Amino acid sequence: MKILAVFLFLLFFFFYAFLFEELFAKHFYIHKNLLFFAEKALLALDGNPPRLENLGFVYPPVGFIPFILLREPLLVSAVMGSILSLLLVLFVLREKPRDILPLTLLLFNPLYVFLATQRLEVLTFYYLLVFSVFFAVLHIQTQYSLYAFISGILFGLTFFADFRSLYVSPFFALGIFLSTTSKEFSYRISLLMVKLTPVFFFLLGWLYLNWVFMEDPLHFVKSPYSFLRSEPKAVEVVSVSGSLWGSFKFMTGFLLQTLPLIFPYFVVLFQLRTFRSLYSIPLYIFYLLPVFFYYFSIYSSQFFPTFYTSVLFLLFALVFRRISATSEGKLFNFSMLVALLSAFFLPLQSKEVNERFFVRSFFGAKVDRELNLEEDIRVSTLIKEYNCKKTLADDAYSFPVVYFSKEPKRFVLQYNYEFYTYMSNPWLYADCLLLFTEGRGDALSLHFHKARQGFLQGYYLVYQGGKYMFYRRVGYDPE
Amino acid sequence: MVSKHLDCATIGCILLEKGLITQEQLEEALRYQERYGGRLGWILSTLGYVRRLDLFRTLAELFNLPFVEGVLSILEKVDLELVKNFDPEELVSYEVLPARLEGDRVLLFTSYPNSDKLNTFVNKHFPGKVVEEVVVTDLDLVKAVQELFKGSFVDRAVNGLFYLTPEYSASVVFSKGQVFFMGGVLTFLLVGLYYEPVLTLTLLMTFVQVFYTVSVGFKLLISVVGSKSEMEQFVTEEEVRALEEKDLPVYTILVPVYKEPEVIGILIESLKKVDYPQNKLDIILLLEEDDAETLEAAKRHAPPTNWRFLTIPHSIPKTKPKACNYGLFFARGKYLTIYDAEDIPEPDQLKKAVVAFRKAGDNYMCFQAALNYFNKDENFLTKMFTLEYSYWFDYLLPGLFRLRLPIPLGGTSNHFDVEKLREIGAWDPFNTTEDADLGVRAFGKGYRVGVINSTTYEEANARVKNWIRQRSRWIKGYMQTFLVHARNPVKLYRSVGLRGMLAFYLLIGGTPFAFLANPIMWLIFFVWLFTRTQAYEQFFPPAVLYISLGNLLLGNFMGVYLNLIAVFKRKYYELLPYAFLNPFYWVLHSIASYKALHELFTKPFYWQKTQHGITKHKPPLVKT
Repeated sequence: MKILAVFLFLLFFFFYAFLFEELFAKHFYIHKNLLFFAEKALLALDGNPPRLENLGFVYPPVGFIPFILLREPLLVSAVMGSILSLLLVLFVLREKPRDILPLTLLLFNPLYVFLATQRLEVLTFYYLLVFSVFFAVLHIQTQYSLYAFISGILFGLTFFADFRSLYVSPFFALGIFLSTTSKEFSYRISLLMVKLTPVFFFLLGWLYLNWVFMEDPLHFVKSPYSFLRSEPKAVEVVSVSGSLWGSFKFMTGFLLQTLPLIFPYFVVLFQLRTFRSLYSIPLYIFYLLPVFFYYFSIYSSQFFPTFYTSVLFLLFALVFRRISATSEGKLFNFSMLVALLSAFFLPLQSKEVNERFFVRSFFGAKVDRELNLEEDIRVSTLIKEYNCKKTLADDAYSFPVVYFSKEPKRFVLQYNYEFYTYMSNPWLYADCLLLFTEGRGDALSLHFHKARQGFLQGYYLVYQGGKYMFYRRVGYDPE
Repeated sequence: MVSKHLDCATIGCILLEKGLITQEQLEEALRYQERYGGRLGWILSTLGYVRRLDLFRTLAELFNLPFVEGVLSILEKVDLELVKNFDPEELVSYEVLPARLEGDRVLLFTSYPNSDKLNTFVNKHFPGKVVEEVVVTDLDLVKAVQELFKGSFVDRAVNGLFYLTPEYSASVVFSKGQVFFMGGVLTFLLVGLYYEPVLTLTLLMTFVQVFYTVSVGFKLLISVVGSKSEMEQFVTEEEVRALEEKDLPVYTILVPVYKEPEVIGILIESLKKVDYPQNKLDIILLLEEDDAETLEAAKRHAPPTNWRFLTIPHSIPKTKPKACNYGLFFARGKYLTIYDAEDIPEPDQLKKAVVAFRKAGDNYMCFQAALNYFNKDENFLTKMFTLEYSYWFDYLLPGLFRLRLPIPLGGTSNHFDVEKLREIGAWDPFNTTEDADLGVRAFGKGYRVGVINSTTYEEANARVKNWIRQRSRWIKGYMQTFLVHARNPVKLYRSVGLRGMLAFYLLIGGTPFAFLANPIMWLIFFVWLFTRTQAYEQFFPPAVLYISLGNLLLGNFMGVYLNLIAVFKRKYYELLPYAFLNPFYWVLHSIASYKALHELFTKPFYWQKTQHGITKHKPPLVKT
């Protein structure tokens, strides 16, 4: 088994590394989230000064951890993707070896591969959520405390992967409560507390860290760069947010739209009836957690209709196959095949540019201009060529440049105490200035109005591209 | 030799003829003998149908031998010059006392006349001599040997381990090397604080924080591994049922008591219900010389013949391990366990231990049963104590067992292979957690200590002062154990390996260290919390700060969460909310730790007595 695990790990590693490298070499494509995590990890490790708080405390920390350890997006993607996929294989081999075919179909599903190579934090969250549910059910079945322990910890960790995991807490609670009706009341309460204590403890811990480092416990919620505001806004979601009925209609429509992708989820949903150890209703509640999760994400306007969300449904289906103890497999295998095939076509029309490009790339499509990182790399090289030792930039937008430079000390960014002093009188301190001109959020673009037109007192324009303008200081003396 | 009861060839028949037992009692004893094996007379007396005196007198009649009653009657006939040539333990073991040797005739007092055991002894020491046997009761024989060898027994109970392996004795608290080492560290700290105070305090802080992190990680690992014991019981019910009861060995139970007359009744009742042939139980109540009240209480309850009361002569240190060492000299069993007076073991515990010894292999010296409390619901303290024990015995010790690490034994319900226990020098009477020390020492000597899935219910300490006294003794014992085994780190490494050594440092050394360090860290934290002072920043460089924050948030969380989980195995769900109050319980630990540290220097061998029998909760009835 160990040899097989090593072999599979290497197989996954080379597969993911190859895909990642292909996209980067041919299209200059890396998902910006990866670069964001990589840049923040770089600031934490090599910043000026190097401090963990350079991570910002506005994003869940799970995404950063592999970058702190491995630094390189390619390595992180290949290693973490391989570990997660290997875990799933080992789980299926151990629990339900018959499902190796649907598992393979999932592992080659382009949306799964997209997450495994480009959106690891999302895939990690899915894994944590699905296995947290799995172990909760396993505990209720067997009464072994180890499973309650693992389930609670995993669910707690989901908070550190995606703050929205709090939305499913009430449904978890409900599922546990209903699934233990035959047990004594104190047992039900105990199980609830074991399940929910970690997530609330971790929430308190996060509030505390925000208070210590950012002076405001709710900084991660209020910050303009908050994770909760990080997803792009879809008009149709914004229009239904805050409405229970509107969100429900939207959710239903979304499920129907992705039906071929999540077909296995519905197959297993109807097979759950054969399961006897648990009452059906609580089991359905556990199984429907992804639906609740996305429903409340829509309700709170923290949702963007992507097709890769189907992977969470597929993972639930695969894992619940083990719990439901259904032996019939043909329909499930067929549904997985349908999901795989549709994953090559439905995302071609996705509103989410990354997954759309990722799937299109299988058909030889060119990368969208906004996703192409060639200019970011070129600018990072320019900064070095012009020997800028203090480049003022807003890394909320120009983080890819900071990352590709690999020398964060060349930059003065928001995390530096002196950032706003530099902003007031840049010509006194900053050798160079980097403006992000695409969109309107860049702090430098907002502050130096004329810079977008190519005028910046004390600086001359060195470079102007589609995304960036790069200035270098001239010998200006304010006296 | 022919019995004067000419028509009776068995002891049962004579006892019946003398009217000492009824026909029904005899039949019951015969059925008992058929099932469990053993001597009929002994069975009758252990069932409580015949008094000890009547049994041995009848035994003498059966073999037509003289019978002597009373220790003084025995002693006045004993030739001291002859006796001093014998090993007292051998005499106890053969149940014989040579009294006189005149020409080719030897006079022997015995409580096991006409037996193979006696013949073996005679052939070994008096070959070719004409033997005159005089029957005495087993108790008189033991008392006579005790009286004759009082000094030797006491000396060996106190110094036996020191004579055997002085390096393992806690009679010397600090070795010379340790004194030099501590002096060196202290000097280094003082010099450092004078010349480089920031660096010194930073290093100190780093050490403490890294220790916390490793310690929490270690406990987490052990607990996760230990929780698997729920899934795989080491001894199954089937294995217990499959035991051939006739083949069960004699099992000694030592019960050290001191001024606990109120719990003797509970003890006798619970041991009567132990699922083990009573005639194969050798129960020894160990009493201190100045504890007449407990002796009287024990006599009042008139326990069966398989109970013996041993009075330990007064000597220093007056500790439980010394009493146990003393009792060990008189143990008849192949296996031995210790129960406190208020203990209620699960009925099949001894059988489980026998199964465990048989299936585990020859290198196992001891099996520890879980301890828990019957008065858990009494108050806050008993609830917290129960939570702690549930975690310790249900998760932590099984984890250590599964990972093949040294196990600090609990105070009672540890089941020993007597031969191996004697071989390694038994308990250290100078160590106030002699049990934890023994577990580590056994591991170092190449023996393993296992854990069995059986529970003994005890009385949880319900009063704060009493709890602190008890806990300070335990923590002081951990300090002693740490000091003893850390005297020679190279030797420790060679005997327990790297993993064992790390586990030893973290568990035995780390436990008192954490309790001592906690209040200082809490103080630092609360001062910062209320003042937000910048003064700390110099002592907390980023790396140390992050580790400290991790310990503060995750370490404390894990401490509480592991306790939350601990309620599940025993279904103590009502205790779960109390797990959140653990930080208050940890404060009590720290108070006890400082008391322990103080006593380590001022009265290292002082045994802080725990008062038992103060609970208002009655122990549950033991299911038979």
